[in-house]
Amino acid sequence: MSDYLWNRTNPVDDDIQRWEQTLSSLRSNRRYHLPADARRDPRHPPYAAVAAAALLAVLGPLLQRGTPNEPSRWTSEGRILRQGQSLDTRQQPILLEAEDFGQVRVGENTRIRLGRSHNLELKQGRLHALIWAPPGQFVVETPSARTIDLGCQYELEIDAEGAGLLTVETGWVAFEHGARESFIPAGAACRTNPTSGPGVPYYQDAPASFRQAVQSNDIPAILAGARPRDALTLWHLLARVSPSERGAVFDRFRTLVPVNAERQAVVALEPVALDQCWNALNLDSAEWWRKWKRPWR
Amino acid sequence: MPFAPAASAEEELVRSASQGDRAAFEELYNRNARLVRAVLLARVAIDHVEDLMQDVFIQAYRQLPRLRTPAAFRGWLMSIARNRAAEHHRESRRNLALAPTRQPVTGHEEAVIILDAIRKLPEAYRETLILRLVEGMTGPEIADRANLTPDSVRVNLSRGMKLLREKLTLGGRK
Repeated sequence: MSDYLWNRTNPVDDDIQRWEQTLSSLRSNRRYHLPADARRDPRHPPYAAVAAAALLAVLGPLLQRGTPNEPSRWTSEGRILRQGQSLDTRQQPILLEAEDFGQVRVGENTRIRLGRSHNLELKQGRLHALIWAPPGQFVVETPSARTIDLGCQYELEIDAEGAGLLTVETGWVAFEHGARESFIPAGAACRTNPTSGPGVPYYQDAPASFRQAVQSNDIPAILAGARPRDALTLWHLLARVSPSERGAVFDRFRTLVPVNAERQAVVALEPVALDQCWNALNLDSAEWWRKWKRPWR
Repeated sequence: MPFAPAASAEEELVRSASQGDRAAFEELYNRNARLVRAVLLARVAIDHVEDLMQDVFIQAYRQLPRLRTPAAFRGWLMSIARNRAAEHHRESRRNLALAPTRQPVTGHEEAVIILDAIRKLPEAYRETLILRLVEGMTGPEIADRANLTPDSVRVNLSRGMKLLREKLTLGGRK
């Protein structure tokens, strides 16, 4: 290759010089500015995306399996992967890429299967997802729960028994199994196991004793150790504990965050009362939760 | 590591922009506009490029808070641009029967002919040649800006230029 082509040093290549002079007329020297009305994506997912994700959740595994041997949307090291293809990374992590969608880093000793569209099945191991597609389009099936991306990045690991841990770094993730759902915001984590599905989410900056209490489902210790922001955990507990315990959970909840809901209505799991409790968390309005397939509807 | 300070400064801009600093984002915009423009020029007609540039950067601005690794910014931005170009072609096919065909840009006919020849080259060579011939970057600058190794850029430039010479010479437009 000529030096001129590489760094425009002599001797000049006449063809190249003529073409670059001609093509330089296509250059733009303008300064760019963001339009004044450019806005960030909303913190919570658009209702349409949530509705689409809910539909996806209802259709469930039928959509996840994919058509064997059809190309998937994912590539790895420039190769197009196929729907239905199983991958076992052993000692070599791999990066799945989809230009218009996101990246998934699949860790060592991890087994995954590619489903329809961008969906994945994580059988065992660990993955980290960074998704820039609209919320609700990226679904990962595991033996104990389904994760639905709501515009975020997160890490998910599943052990040999099918139990797992989801850690959300930005945005939100919905974690569901059967009728049980958890919604995990940035900074929070949530465990899941094959028999009971998703547990209650907890903030990772909570004291170790609180996290341990969540893991062992020690309700008195959870209530005693909760900080105001751990009301997120208590909100999820409301629908999981027995009616006899629910009153105590709500009593503690309202000492942590101001809420106008009626105790009796909360104990009865009335949707309006649960919405009021959710809104008191100051995370987002309850409206988009209600667009999801709510268990308390 | 001659480009480390620049890369580090850009990562700082990415962090600021992701926290809502519009001035930082505009600086990122201006630093990377030539790169994005080359990605688009390699794929779409020049009279669509400015509109698509705007689309790409608005999409990047909206989604930036989701980008975990600031160092990945340029690769991520180029991916958005490639995807937007592909989407533009899908839209164009849908609208083919409705929209009138745009005329070539006047005053740039020869440039457009050369650009068309570059667009007919294998994809791997197009962006590199456009960065070199249209945007006027040197090989080392291309390697830095496009996150490619110098060896890859050398290969892309060398093979791409060989093919381009053949095309333009055989076409009688040398």
